[in-house]
Amino acid sequence: MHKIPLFTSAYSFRSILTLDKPKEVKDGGPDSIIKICEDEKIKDLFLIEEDMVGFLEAKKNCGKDINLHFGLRISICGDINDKETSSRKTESKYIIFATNDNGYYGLVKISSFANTQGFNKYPRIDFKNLKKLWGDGLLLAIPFYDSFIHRNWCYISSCVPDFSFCKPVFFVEDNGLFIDDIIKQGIESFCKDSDYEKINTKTIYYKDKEDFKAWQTYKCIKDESRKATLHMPGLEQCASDLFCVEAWKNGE
Amino acid sequence: METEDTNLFYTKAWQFAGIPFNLSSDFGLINLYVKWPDLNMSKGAAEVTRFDKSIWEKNGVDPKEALDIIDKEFEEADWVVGHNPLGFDIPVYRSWCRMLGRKPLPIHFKTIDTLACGKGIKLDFLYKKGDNFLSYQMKMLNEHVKKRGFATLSALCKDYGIPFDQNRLHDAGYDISINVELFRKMIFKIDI
Repeated sequence: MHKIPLFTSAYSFRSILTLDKPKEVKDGGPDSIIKICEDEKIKDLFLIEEDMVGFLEAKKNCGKDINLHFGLRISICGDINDKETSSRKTESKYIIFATNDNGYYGLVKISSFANTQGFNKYPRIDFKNLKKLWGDGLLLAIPFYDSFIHRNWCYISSCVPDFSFCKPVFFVEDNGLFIDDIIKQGIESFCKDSDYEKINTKTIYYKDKEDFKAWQTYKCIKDESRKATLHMPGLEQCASDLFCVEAWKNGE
Repeated sequence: METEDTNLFYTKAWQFAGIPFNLSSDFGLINLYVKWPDLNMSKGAAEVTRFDKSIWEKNGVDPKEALDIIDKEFEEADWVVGHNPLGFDIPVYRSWCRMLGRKPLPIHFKTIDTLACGKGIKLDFLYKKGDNFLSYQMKMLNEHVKKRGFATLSALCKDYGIPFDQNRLHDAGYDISINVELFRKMIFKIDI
């Protein structure tokens, strides 16, 4: 089954992959998404980031050989004016892709809004304001993890989507976790009477399965409690080494 | 299961205990010491579980043999009951299968997690028949409660009037026996 690889760089603090030019990659150093695309002959790079920081570097380093499809992964909540802790239960992640130059400018405005007016410990926006900023060149995608479906099916949440202004696509994954089965049930249930497109994808945080330890170490270092170790990482359901290029190549 | 540590991907279970049972009877205790050649107990885990290397070495069985026994029990069971299997034991079991190149059984679909259900009962967030039971349990498991030890095995045993020996906790064989007693009382509040 063909899966579209969805890359994330270290700029989003979720991956150990860089956006370095292939000639800048050193032996024994971090792997570069651009070099991976070159080596694996990936002509279309789907790059999902938590903010716009890496966009220019990615665009520049992709050059003419790789088509960059940039997606901003953003928190959408029920109401940005609700700053109570309980409002977290209305938040979930969405990905907004820029499909042309207008879309890029749209992403910049959305990101700016989320980082200013919407900011509440981290950037966020609500559908009321997203609709005002929506326009040509933007595509909404529902990520497999941390989506409104994941949140509503695995947490006591009240994440209510509003697709009155666009038709989203749903990403579907299988990374060997039993929660994947729950999320897939949720997607089937939500989409059963609709014609939303479902696309098989593979989220990628590192290059090979053997890099899982390095990635997990990085997650432990980033842990806010500063108590995480490899013996006790405290990472919920973190039991799969399939978020990698190697697994994508093997069709896993 | 008792494990080297709490890393869900790398950890190896060195003890597995299970009791085939129904609401009125137990059908024996399965208590397996799993002899991994490269077991690497963390100091913390060894202390908490009172790991005795000599007992483990004397009674340990090959991990493949142990998994054969466990999978047979899982296949035959109508339900798999445990305390926090969705948060720990099932990912550990799946990692065990991965290490041996085997496909795990989808036991999550027939799991009753007494931690998740106990938390739901205490929060007055009861399961409604017809809803997705696995989804309900995950929601309860993931709901953060500020009070420490809110739905631990010992806390729920106190709530349900089940006597237990604090000093024997974290031995898989003992834990599972009181877990069965807890389940027998809790089941009447779970409408499945």
